[in-house]
This record gives sequence, structure tokens and C-alpha cells, in this order.
Amino acid sequence: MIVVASFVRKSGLLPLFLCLIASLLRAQHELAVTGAPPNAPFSVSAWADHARLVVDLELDRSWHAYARDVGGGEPIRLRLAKDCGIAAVGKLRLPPDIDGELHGRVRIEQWIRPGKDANTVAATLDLMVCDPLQCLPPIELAIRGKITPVRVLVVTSSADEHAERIAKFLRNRGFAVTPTTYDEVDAAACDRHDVVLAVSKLFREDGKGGRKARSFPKTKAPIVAVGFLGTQLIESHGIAMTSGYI
Amino acid sequence: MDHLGHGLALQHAVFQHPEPAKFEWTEAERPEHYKGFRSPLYPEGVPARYRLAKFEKTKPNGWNPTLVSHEGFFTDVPGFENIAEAHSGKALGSLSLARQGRYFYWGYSVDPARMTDGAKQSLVNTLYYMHSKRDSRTVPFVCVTREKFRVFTWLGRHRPKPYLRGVQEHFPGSLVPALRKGFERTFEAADEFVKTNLPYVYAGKPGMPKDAKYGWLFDVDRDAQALGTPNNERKSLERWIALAREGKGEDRERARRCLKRYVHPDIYPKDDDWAAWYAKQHDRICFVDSTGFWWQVDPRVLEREVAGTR
Repeated sequence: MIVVASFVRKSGLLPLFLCLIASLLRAQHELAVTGAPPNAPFSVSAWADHARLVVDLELDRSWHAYARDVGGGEPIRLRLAKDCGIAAVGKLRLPPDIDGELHGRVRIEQWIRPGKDANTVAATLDLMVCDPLQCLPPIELAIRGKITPVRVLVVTSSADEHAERIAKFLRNRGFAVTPTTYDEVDAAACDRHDVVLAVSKLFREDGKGGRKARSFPKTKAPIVAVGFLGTQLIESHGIAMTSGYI
Repeated sequence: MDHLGHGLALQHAVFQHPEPAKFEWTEAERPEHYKGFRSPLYPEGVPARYRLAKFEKTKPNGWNPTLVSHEGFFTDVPGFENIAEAHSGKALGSLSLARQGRYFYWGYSVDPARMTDGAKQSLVNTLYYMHSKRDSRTVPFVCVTREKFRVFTWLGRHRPKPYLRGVQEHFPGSLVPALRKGFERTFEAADEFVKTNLPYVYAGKPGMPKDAKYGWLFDVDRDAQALGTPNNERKSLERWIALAREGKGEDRERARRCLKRYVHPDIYPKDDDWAAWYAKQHDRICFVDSTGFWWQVDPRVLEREVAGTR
């Protein structure tokens, strides 16, 4: 193990290795999806937290699925198993279609409300996929797996009582919380989490602990940027959002 | 801003799911400086009495920053979400909750000792909402939008002692030197500039001048102006394409220069076949000021097209 770690470090492959670890950690949170035909013209993955069941379908070029019935094929439908204790909230959410057809990356999102102690998703996704010449027979994908808590990296200017209160509150609300500070945070830690909460106190009250908000690491994780340090973070990332603040 | 919010997009997921956020509301008379103005969350303007939601239990001993939406800095960005306005003494359209791509701005305290129950639930909902945005695309910031100039035609104008720095300093300071020279530095001159030139201003292009204080300086596109084609309108793009293909003389050259100036290099056609290009790009593109005044691919389209390359 030590030899491998040394090799990774010396060979300059550390960033790649950290990305791989992040991918593996993310994969652990995916649900099992079975039932796709051999050589299916799409790939599929799914995950669920306590608010959403999300299925990402990636259709091969020239293939499409259906958002609504346009006479060509059955539209996408998601059924939650009655005995899994999870209720659907509202309608199935699909991306904008083109004349009823869905192309490319299709995110299928169902808002859910798990009952007390319900922690396993069991659902079926019905779909048909076609290209300009043919349609495959209707496909039924089985989706199974555990609901996983959202992993939140909480970044504060210092590891003080304020930081502890926030972490405790989020843990009590079912999140998996990792606390860190602006001085310590790095991109790999952000990437390993589902959401980054970059905390701020009132304007200029974070002292020296917040000075690194402007050099906050670029990450693939979504960021909830709070208050003054949040504006500095977003501005330093060059996002068209905080070009002005008062 | 303080501890209050208003204009909340109450149907948005951050106020609804997985649990609805229940706020303590107060009603107040519309502030005088909101009168006559509109914002993304108040498309019809603020009513004479309006409601304020409490995000923090008490007014903070200090202040929270807000995002300046009223200057139009990012309302041009496709997919940008205006979710709540701050209770701001400056102007309508100051955002306290907003999202672009993977970035969410939360303008209030997240300290549970300060948050109200409504704010706590909204924060929880926000974390769930953002979990689903990992693959969302953002657009980069290059320059402020043209709306900046419109702001200086009204900001502080009707105060007993009008705010003059806007039209005397910031307005001309944001223009290229040639335009700055002839600007008279009055509210009336600002009105006239906006009326005549705003549809044709641009900034952020390679080779254009920059200023340490004001960033990219704005010029007026005399080609687009001569053609009567506001640079951010689709019918202008279609006119340039038609003129580039079938126009004659100077108008054709003007149209070709406009296409070169505004069609982003990432999608600029290699073979000058504008008809084929437009047929392919028609449903993909949008115009964004703040990325540097480009016709470019809508970031939401890019999100969906990830798999199209397989």
C-alpha cells in the first residue's frame, strides 16, 4: 500500500487518483439498475436521496425516448413499488422535448417523500427507445437500492461554536456532514461531497479565517455560497452572478 | 440588506420540497424607491402593500450582502433563477436567494441560532435541490450587461439632492474614450444615450479597452446601428445572415462584421455557409451580454447534449 501511495505521489498521478477515488465514492451511492437489453443504445444510472429519485439516461446518437405519446412509442413512466414506503410527490419531471422526443442526456426526476424508516428504493422505469429506422421492444428497468444521506461539506472561517451549531443542525436533519475550514478545504474534499456549504458570518465578521474564500478550490460539486464570503467565492470563480453586490 | 425577504418564488423547490417552508410574514407599505420599478420577481411591479418573510429572528447587528440584480448583471443568463429579493434600502431587484448552474447564493445567516423555522426548512430544501445540480452548466462572467447604463438614468435622480456621481462619473467612465469625450454628464444626456445607443452597445471583445475601475469599456456598434439591428435580438441575427448571403455593398460588409463580432468562435461556421449553420444552431443558441456579448450555445442545451457525443 505504501509502495502504491509513493508511486502515485511521485508519478504525478495524484490528481487522477483522487478523481478516481471521488468517482468510486460516488458510485457507492448509485442504485442498481437492471433489465436493459444487451447492446442497449443507452447507458443508465440512478440515485436517490430523501427528496428525489433521479435517473440519468444517456441515449446514443440518433436514438430517442419519448416524453409524451406522439404515436411512435410509449412515453417514459416511473412506478414506485407500493411496499417500499416511498410516496411520489407531484409529476415525473423530464427535460424539454423536441416534438415529444428526448435526445442525448435525459434526466428523469421524481420528487419523493419516504415514510418513517423507509430507506430502500424499489421502482420500475418503463420506456421505449427508437432511432429513425426502428424501435426496440418496450423496456422495463428495475431500480433498487438504499437511499443515501446527502453528503454536505460545511466550510467555515474557523472551527468554532458557530460551525458546530450548523453541523449539528444539518446532522439532525439527516445530512452526512463533514466540517472543514476555508484554510483547509481542497478540491478533492469538495468533489467527494454532494454539496458544499460555504458559510459566512456577517459582512467582514469572519476575520482572517475567511481570507481564502477568494481562492476557494474549483470543484465539480454544487456550492451553496452564503453571505459575504459566498459572494467573494462566486466572483472569484468567474460566474456571471455576483458581478455586483451591495 | 437585513433579515427579511420578499417576492419569494414560493412554488420553487427550495420553498416546497421535501417539506414546505412556513414563514412568519409581515405586511408593509411599498417603499417609495420601489414605486414604478419592476424586477424578475415583480414583473408587474410591487403592489402598494407587500409581504415580507422573516429569514432571521432579528435584524442583524451589521449587514448581509445582496446580489445586484437590478443592474441586470445576470438576468440575461439563461437558466438563472431569481428566488427571493432582499429587503434592501438601495433598489428593487436585489437578490437574497439565486442560482446559476452549480452555484446557489444564500444571502442570510445559516446559523441555526439566528434562522427562523422557515429559513431552516428552506436551507434544508436548498441542499437537496442543489444535490441534483452537479452536472449543471454555468456561463463565465466577462463584463457587466448594458443595463448598467439604464440604472444611472434613474438611480438617485429624484432625491432632494440628486445622486450625480452616476451620470457624472460612472456612466462616462464605463465608455470607451471616444464616446466619453462627447458625453455631457447630465441625466438628460444619459437618457438620450440610452434611447439611441443601448440596443447597440457591446464590451468584452478581444482587443477592446479595459479600465482598472470599470473593467471592460463599452463601445457602440456603428455597424449594427446603421442596419437598425439591436445586437441581442434574434431577428437581427437572421437579418445579418440574410445580408451576408444575399446583401450588397456596405450593408453586406456590415452584416458580416456583426456576425464575426457576435457569433461565438466555438460555433462560428468554418465554411461561411450561414444557412446551414443557422438551421443547425437555431434551437441551440441564445445571446448573453455578460459572457462578452455573444450568440452562444445555451448552457442548458449543453447539459442535455453531453451524451450526444457518444
